[in-house]
Amino acid sequence: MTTIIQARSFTIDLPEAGHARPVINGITLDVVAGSCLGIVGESGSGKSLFSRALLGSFPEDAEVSGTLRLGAVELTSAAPETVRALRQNDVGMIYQDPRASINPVHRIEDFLIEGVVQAGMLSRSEARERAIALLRRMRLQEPEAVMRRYPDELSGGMLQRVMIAGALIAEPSVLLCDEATTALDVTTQAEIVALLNELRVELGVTLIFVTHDLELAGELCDTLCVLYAGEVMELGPTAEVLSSPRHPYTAALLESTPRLTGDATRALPSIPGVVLPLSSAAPGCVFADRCRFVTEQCTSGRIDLVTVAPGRRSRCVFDHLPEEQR
Amino acid sequence: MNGPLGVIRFIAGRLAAALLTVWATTFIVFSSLFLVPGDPLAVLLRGRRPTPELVERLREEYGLDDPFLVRYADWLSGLLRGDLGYSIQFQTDVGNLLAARLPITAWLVGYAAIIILVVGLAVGSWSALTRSPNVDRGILIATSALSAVPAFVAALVLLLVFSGVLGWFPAFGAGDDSFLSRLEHLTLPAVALSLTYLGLIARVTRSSLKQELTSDHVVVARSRGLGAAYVFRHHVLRNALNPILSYAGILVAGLLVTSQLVEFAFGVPGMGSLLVESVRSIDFAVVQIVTIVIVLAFVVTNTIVDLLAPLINPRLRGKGAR
Amino acid sequence: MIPADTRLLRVPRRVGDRSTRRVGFVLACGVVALAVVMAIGAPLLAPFDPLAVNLRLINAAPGTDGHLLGTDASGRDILSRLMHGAQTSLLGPLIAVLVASGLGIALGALAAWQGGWTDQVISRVIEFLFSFPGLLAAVFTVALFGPGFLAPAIGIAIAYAPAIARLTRTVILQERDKLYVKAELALGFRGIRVLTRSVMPNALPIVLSLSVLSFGYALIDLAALSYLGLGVQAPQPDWGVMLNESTSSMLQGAWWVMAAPAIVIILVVVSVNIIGEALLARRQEVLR
Ligand SMILES: Nc1ncnc2c1ncn2[C@@H]1O[C@H](COP(=O)(O)OP(=O)(O)OP(=O)(O)O)[C@@H](O)[C@H]1O
Ligand code: SF4
Ligand SMILES: [Mg+2]
Repeated sequence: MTTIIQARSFTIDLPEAGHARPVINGITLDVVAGSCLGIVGESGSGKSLFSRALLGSFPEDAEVSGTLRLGAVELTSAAPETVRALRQNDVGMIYQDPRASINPVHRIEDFLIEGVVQAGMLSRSEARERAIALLRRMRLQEPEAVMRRYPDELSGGMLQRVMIAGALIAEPSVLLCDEATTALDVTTQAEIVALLNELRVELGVTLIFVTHDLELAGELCDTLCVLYAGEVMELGPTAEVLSSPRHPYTAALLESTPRLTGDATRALPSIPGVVLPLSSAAPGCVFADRCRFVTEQCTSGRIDLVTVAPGRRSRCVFDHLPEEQR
Repeated sequence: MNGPLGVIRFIAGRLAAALLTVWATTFIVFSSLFLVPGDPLAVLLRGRRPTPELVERLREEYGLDDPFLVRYADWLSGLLRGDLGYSIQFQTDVGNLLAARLPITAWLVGYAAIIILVVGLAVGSWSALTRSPNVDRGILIATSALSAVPAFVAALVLLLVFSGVLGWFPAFGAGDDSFLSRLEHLTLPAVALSLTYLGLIARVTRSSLKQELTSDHVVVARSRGLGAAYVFRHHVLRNALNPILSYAGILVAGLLVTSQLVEFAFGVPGMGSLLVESVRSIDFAVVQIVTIVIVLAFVVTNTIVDLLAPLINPRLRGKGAR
Repeated sequence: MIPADTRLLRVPRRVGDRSTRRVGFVLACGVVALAVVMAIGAPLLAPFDPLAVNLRLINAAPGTDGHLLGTDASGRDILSRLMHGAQTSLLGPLIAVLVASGLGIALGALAAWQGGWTDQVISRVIEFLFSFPGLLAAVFTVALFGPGFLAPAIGIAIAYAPAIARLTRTVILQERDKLYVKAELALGFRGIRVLTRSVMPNALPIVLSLSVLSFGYALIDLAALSYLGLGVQAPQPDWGVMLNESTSSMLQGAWWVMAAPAIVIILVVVSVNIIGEALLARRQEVLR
């Protein structure tokens, strides 16, 4: 069990943008090599910022503190060459919109092999062979023909498979998926998730799976990190977090998730209110103004992420109370 | 554009449109002579002594005794056979005049186009890539200012400074046929010719690059650890090329027309100064042909660009281009 | 030459902050106003007769004997020639732009409002006319009608009309789809009334900004024609003519003979562009 990603009080602040609080605030977590970490949370919670940070990419003018390690590299202070080498060899990323993410004027082949060829890792023909093998693995029919195609000639689902193949060609140890399935229809979504799972099992790739969709996270992820307003609200084994959430925000998220199995006539609840705007800071819990259980203590002082059970952590005043009062 | 049939249909469509434009140009250029109120012969003779020989020559040349459509058909079939008419001013076939003058103008325009592309792309890229807003603003102001300087003013200033004061370049003519002599004589004219359009191309390059630089796929390419230079060449510049290229037609036609001014200022015996001389001496046959040549250059360039566009940007293929 | 593509005419965003832009705008208006005053008041204000030759004082440097900007190769006062020259130099482009705008707006409105075959035909003609650069059209007109003041201006007008027509058509098409037009038409107002009373007043400002910009380009093209000897004829003191005549002075080192009209032309053109672009920028969102 080696830890491949390690974050300690990792914080991104953007004072230049006029924000009153950091966009990423004190993230502390570990990811075991070969496992899958799910990151869930509403829009604007900082999911994308965190996954970009794992690529060594921070917003311009960002003030970064704490530590964020990937393998042996400390990302918060890495030299540009180190970051480039990391991107070339160790981390792949796939994005929500494959059509916008792949240059439309070049052939699929070019997209797939440019990374390894430019880095001098493989010759053109070696790279081509590996790309074809990967496309086949992605269950694309006639991979040789796909290589000669242009992005506009492929469907969204096919393109996302190409995108994954492109991210895997350098055989990275970590694959970041930022809402990689959001733009796809349900069937394709399920196929892609199955593929990712297969990759993890067969290649031992560490997956960081960013999503809005708790159910999807439940299918794929070992560990779940619930992010809200840049802070970790709850962290723990996926099955446990989803079946018995500790944090009121996780519970609210779960309630607002539509269930195919549930009572179809039940009105879908969504969490009332909006995410705390970046222009305001909260002295205590960032979720306080939307929380059903809010008490005075919640807003009076800082609330830490505490271990509440083996492997489980949560950030709520109720978790700070002695056992019998919870 | 699916399959070879679609490709053929696309190419045929473009060629037909080009032919139609050129044909319409010949029609207008020819018929305008007869649309002017009064006797066409009077237009053709203006400022000349109407000797019987000259009148006879013009009557025959323009078929003034035939019905209009017959005249036009004769003239057009003459053009197609390479008979471009007779210049009453230079007393020779227009074809001969063109053969002597066109290469010099082509040299000049080509030279200016190279300056425009190299400097315009470089300056535009610099302005798009710089992180200093002041540099960007400075370039923008400089290129806008350059575009406001009329080519003939630029020509006079260059003439004054580099030929008059510094004496670095000859002030007159196109030199002999050797490459170096051409280069020496045509450098100042080419620079004068290029200035107006330099600003245009630089600004188009800038805006087109800026748009590409912030596109998702460029961000993704960087996040894949690709080198900055490679990303710029392969993903930014390559994609920005299409909008830049779409100005090629305007550029070529504009340069050919503007070369009149520059050739006149520097006494370069090209097609431009031929046009000026012919208009002054009301040598209508020459004016007609030079006009057609310029429109032809515009149409040919645009057609080439249109035909190339789908090769450069595969997105245009599915839609049968534009 | 007027760019066929009006996108190019847009002011790039955030070049110069608001205050410097406003100062630029005010200065530009000042320059144009000054030029107009020079043109109208020339007979009263000009210190010398613009045509009075003085062979004893040729190519005099600025300041010599009361000649504020010096004299040219024939000893004529440059300042007086500039002032009188403003008349033809400004009136020519004004005529060209008025005719071009009239033609262009009429054609564009007709195409947009009628649609169907009318639109098809007009659009084709517009596209075709784009293959004639302004200067070429002007030169060709001169070849037909002979050199002078009016022929080149008409040629320029014909060459500039398509850009204005195309913009008018685009703007009116956008305007036509708006709710108020549909409502008025549904209420039974006559189409022509809706067009002239409601649509045109909304569409015209942006089209007229383009006309203002065209003025600058027309000024350059017409000055170019006079420079070539195809427009206003010497010894008339047109700015283009003055540039044409400055060549011989320049060869004798009297650069100011050329500099004066050159600087005036550039100043006026830049000012007109600043005004036109400011007007256009204010209407930018309409084009989107
Ligand atoms: N470069 C930047 N400058 C200023 N603010 C930024 C920047 N990038 C992101 N933000 C802000 O940081 C917050 C987190 O953004 P992020 O994109 O990480 O959210 P997300 O969780 O991925 O949301 P979504 O589900 O919509 O993708 C947002 O409020 C965003 O406005
Ligand atoms: S700390 Fe208070 S406000 Fe925050 S989640 Fe817990 S109960 Fe709700
Ligand atoms: Mg996101």
